[in-house]
Parts: sequence; structure tokens; C-alpha cells
Amino acid sequence: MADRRPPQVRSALAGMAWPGLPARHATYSLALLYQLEHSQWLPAEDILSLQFRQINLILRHAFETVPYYRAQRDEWGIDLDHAITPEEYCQQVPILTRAEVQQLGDDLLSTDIPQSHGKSGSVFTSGSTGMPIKVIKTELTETFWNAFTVRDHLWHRDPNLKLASIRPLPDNEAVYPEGKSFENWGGMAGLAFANGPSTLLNIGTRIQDQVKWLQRIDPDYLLTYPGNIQAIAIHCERNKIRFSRLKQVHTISDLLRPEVRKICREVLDVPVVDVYSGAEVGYIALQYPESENLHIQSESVFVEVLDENGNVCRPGEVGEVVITPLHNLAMPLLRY
Amino acid sequence: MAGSRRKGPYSKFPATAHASLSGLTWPGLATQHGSHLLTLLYQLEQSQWWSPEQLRLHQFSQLAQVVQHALNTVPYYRKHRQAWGIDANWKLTPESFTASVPILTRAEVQEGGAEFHSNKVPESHGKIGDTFTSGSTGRPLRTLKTGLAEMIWQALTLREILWHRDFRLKLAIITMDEDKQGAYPDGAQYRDWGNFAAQTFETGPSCVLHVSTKIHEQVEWLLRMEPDYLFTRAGNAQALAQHCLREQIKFPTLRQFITFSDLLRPEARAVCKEAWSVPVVDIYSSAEVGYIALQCPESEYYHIQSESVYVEVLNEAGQTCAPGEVGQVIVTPLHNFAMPLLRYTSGDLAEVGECACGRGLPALRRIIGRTRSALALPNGEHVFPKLQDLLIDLPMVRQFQIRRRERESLDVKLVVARELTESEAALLQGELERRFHYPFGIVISYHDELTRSKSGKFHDFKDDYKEANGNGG
Repeated sequence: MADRRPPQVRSALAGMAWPGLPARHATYSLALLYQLEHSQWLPAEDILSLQFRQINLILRHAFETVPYYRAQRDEWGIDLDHAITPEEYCQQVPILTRAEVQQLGDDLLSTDIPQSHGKSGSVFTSGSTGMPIKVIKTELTETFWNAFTVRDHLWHRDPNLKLASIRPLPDNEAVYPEGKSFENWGGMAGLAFANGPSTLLNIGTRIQDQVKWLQRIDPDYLLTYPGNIQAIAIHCERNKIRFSRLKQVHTISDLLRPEVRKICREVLDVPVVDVYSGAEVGYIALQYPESENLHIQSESVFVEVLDENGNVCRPGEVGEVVITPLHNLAMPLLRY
Repeated sequence: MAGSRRKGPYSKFPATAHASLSGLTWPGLATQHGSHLLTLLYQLEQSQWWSPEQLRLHQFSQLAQVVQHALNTVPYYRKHRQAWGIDANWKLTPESFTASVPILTRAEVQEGGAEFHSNKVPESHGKIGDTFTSGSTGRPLRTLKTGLAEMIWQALTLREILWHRDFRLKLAIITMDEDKQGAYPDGAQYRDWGNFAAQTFETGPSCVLHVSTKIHEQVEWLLRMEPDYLFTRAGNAQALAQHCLREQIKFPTLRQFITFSDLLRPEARAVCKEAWSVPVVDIYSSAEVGYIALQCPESEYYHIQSESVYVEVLNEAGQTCAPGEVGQVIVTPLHNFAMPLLRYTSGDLAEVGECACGRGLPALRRIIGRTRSALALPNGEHVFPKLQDLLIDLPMVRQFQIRRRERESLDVKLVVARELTESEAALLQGELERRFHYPFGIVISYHDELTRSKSGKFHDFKDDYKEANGNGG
């Protein structure tokens, strides 16, 4: 990430230009970001031990306040009097499937969410099976989500530059030809950092119009869905169109296929940076700043990748991803 | 290559943020105050690696704010701005700042009093508190400070700790304890490192002893407390080291000495290393300004804390000193809007250095003496004796203290490994004549321990004759 201007923290205080002290909510994100900057360099065993400090808290909370887990506690042989080890955790707690989450419904909700975790809200996710599930999340999980969003930006992007997003929006919002313009990148990135402008377009726009819009907007970064950028790149290939300033495509949501990376590199001459996240669990992995590998976001989730026999996969092996989000006390999902 | 000079992990010692929320332990979310401190630390971690140009650019964006505030809301500056040629067209640059704003002395601030207080401090900067510093002249100076300035002080305190120490270990503090809880033999013992440090990070225990405790009792207490780190005044550290060297006492757990307040002389560093084989980490700060420079984690250079203070080191001609040159330290704190001090000098001299660690923060090689206690010679001239490296050719001398009680002579009190020979005494007399610009007679006496003031502050030179007679001549 050479030749970058350093991100400048936005200050909300009169007379305070540098260092910045931003609005209260952004302060929490930056407090987390400070820790993320350090924890990314920690040795694996230190990360595991810190993860299990947190998992032990969420376990206690789940077995004391969530009906489903309370009912299973004796059967699973969970002893809350001593700290559970990673091995015990993976042996004693069975894997929780999406179908089970759907069936269990409110039995997975905590009856006693700490007030300090803020308000709870629900999100619906349809998933690829079309079976929608309802997930309840706290404001605290939102704060974590924001911090990881900023981490992803800082790993890959210069926040002083121009960002364009093409994403699903209600029909009449940010429509072609204008789209919508903003002074900054919005969200926590906008609150925490003094950054460059951004523009937004409805993904419902026809591909040839999206391309015209992009030529006019001339962004440094484009955030969109993998399928959408693939269609844009194909259109550009046929019509010999290049975006002069574009430095990177950032894909979210759907699975990113290798051919999308390939066509972006070949036609648009830019790399694709992907994120792996889920509405029910938050960020799972972010692309490494220096390669196309993804880094598990261990400060937010405990991830196991298991083969068909339930054993941990080695590098090079493919397995099922089992996730324990560390901070959602409204609806703890253990080994999901 | 902005912001990319750093390689690898940020810190030698992993520190875990304190979590104040139930059901949350990692990553921690501290109290609001703790989160503010982490927000500042997040920025300090990065800015230390910026290029000097980048630091200067950001520093001047903040300097512009405090200068503007001072010119508009502080009576002293409002009164003088016109005479200084600062009008609507004046533009702040390093050159225009130096050219237009004259150097402000401690005496001027003392005389000015409330003239230096802003009549419109932004409410968001928090409560205003005051501190008194006695300084070596004994005339106290009252400084007003906002909550924001205090917060910056705290963030830099944490930076200093993260640069040099592991929060999880045990800290002993021998200082002025205003709560008077730290009386010998027990001192005071705490579960954590106290207050804002513990609000921000998980820490080990700490213990506090009052600095007025006799040296041998301090040693006994330290043997009992078994700390990993000891934080005390430079003069006190030196006295402890001398005692322990003489009595062959080691502290097996001690990893580091941290000194502040008094000037840390080369011989103090040396005697601490000799007595316990532990390094000394020194802090250069003042009550009226805050932190000025902190010791580099990788060398004995001091890094100017550019995020909180603008520092000029100027030679006698008023020009910026190059590395290797010694000059007067002139500071402008960037965030104290209650009592802005522009181009303030506390009388310190420093040698500019160049540190190889890669940080963009400017470096000082050494801090050389306060020139605050000027000496009036019998011929009417005033000199500021430079005593920092007085002992370089006299390795048998551990510590010195010079008092002028008579018009023509100096009492030189020494703590020594062995007494001086005649030729060594002559060498010392010659050195003093050179540094005081006057052939004072000297009376050497030998001591086990040198006296400290009530606050534990060690004065290496005092002109008692001038204080008794009003002038030195």
C-alpha cells in the first residue's frame, strides 16, 4: 500500500484538527480498530486464547439465558465452573444447521441481553436455499461490523479517493442517469475518517447505462456484486471500453468466481478484492492486502473448517465452514 | 511512501484493551474515556511513522487552530498581535511563526498571570483544571489546562508505556503522593496501574511509595514489592543506585527504570546500569507544557511528541539547530486552549539528534540542563552553567551538588566511589571555572547521600548567595 496519503481521522471537536476526535460512535469503532491493528500481528496461539476468553463469556450467557441452549446443557455435559478449552468446545457442542435455526425460532433468542450492548434489531436473510431466517443482532455487533468494514477499506483502499457503489436499492432510489452523490464514503468510514467523495447507483440500471455512468463518474474504486461486475466487464470487452482512473473492484455478497477476477484483470486491468460475510454472522474473512487469500476475522468469529469426518482441514484441503460469532449476545449461534 | 515505513507488528508488548461491557472481553470496548484514548492511540501509532513533512503538515493544521484561538481570545496575545505585525493577511508558516511571534519566557508568563487565560474556551474541551509548578527558582507558576489537554497527556502516557513496557507486569512508583497513602513501610498497593491506564488496557498490579522516604527504606520496600518496573525522579533513581552499588543490593525482578522530572545525567544512566544491569528510560516533560519528548523504544534518543507540541531548537543566532548542535528548546503546546503558550521556553537546552529507528518524529540526542537557575557573577555577568556532562572525565564521582553560599566560592558536594586525588580535584576546579566563566574557589566535601527537596526534586546547582543577597555581584 505504498504511496498512500495516511487516513485522517475526522474531528468533531471545535479547535481540534489533529489528532482527530470524532463523534462518539465513531470513537468506539476507532477504539476497536486500534486493537485490530495490533491483533492482526498476534501469534495464532495468542489469538486462540483471546477468542476463547470471549467464547467462554458467550457460552455462559447462552447456557444461562437462551432457552434452546439451557435445555441442552446437561445433555452436552457443559460445566460452566471451569473455562472451556477449544477441544472441549468442539467436542461437546454439536454443529447447528441453518434448518435448525429456522425451526428453533425464538428459542435461540436470549431472554436477558445486557443493556450495554444497545438496542436489538432483526435482519432477514434468504440464503441460497431460499429458506429465510430471522437473525436478531445488537448495536454492539453493528459497531463491530463497522470496525471491520473500516479495516477492509484501510487494507485495500485509500479513503481519500473516489468510491462508486452499484448495489440493490429500492426502485426509485439512486436511479440512472444521476445516481446519488455524497461528500464522503458514508457509514462509519465517513464518520471516522475525513475521506474522499462517493457516488451510488441502483443495480437495477441497464448494464450499458451503468457503464456510461461509470465513464462519467470516473471513480477510483467500484463496489458491486460479482455478477454485476462480470456483466459490466463483458460489455466493456465487446465495446472496447476502459475506465481510466479505476484502480480496483470490490465485490460483496455473492460468491466470487475465478472467471470474474480473470475478466476484470484482462479487460479492465484491475484487481478484484472480495469479502466473505454473512448477514447472520457478520464478517467471516477479508482478502489479504498483499494476496488473493482471505484472512479469517478471528476478532469477530471463531471459524472451524471441517472435513467429512469432522476433522480440522489442513492447508489445501476443502471442508465445511463452521462459525461461532463472538459478540452477538441477542442470538448466540454456537458452531453454526 | 507515506504511512508505510513501518514493518511488522506495532508493539513489542501485546496489550489487551480493557472491556467495560458485560459479556465482552475481546476485543475490548473500554469506557467512553478509554475509547477516546484508544482513538488517539490509533492515530499516534500511525503518525509516528509518517515522514517529517507529513507530520509538519498535520502539526501546522493544529497549530493554526491554537494560534488563531490565542490571537482572538487571550488578552496577552490580543494586545500584542498588532505590534507583531499579525493582521488579516498574516499566514501561518514555520517561518512566519518564528519571525512574528517572540519567544515567551517563564518569567513573562508568571508576570502575565490571567492575561494568558483564554476568555472563551470551547465547552467541548472539558473542565479546566490548574497545576502549580515550583521550578528550580522556587517561584510557582500556575498553569490552566483543559480536559482535552489532559486527555492528550494521558494518550501520550499510554504511548510511552506501549513503547517501553508490558502492561501485564508490576509497576512501582516512588513519587510525590498527594493522597499521602504511600507512607513507608507499607506504601500503597493497587490491583492495576491506576485510573486511565486501567480504563484503557488490562494491567498488572502497581504500588506507590512517597519519595520523602529515606533511601535505605525505599530499597527495603522495593525488595519486598518485587516490581518489574520502577518509575521515579532521576535524582532519586541515582541515589537508589548509589546506595545499592555500595551495599551490593540487586533487585532480581527489576527490568527497567523510568525517570522523569529531574534532568537525567549520563552518570545517572551509568550508575543504574552498573548497580542493577537494567536500562533507564527517561521522559522529558514539564507541567506547563506536557510531554515534550519521549525516549525512543529502540535507542537512547528522545522523540519529540509532534502530535501534541511544536518544538523549535534554536541556536544563539535564533536559527534552527542541525543534528549535533545544542540550542534552546522552544515549545508550543497544540491543544491547551485554556492557556495557550506560543513559543514558550522553560530554559532547557537540547542537542538535536538523528534517530535511525524510522520514526518521522524529530529526535533529540540529549536534554541539557535547565538554564533557569542563572548565576550572577561577581563581575555582574549572568551565566547559565551547563553541567550535563561535568563528570565525563571523573568516573569515580557518582553524583554532585553545587551550592554557592559565598560570593567567591562554591561548595561542591560529591558522592564518590573513592575520594579525588589532588590532580583530579584540580581538574574539577578547572572544569567548573570553564563552565561558570569565573575562577571560584571550591570546597569539596564527600557524602553518602545528597539532599533532595521535599518533593524529592534534586537540584544540582543552587545560588543561595544570590537568593540571600538579591544579586550575585
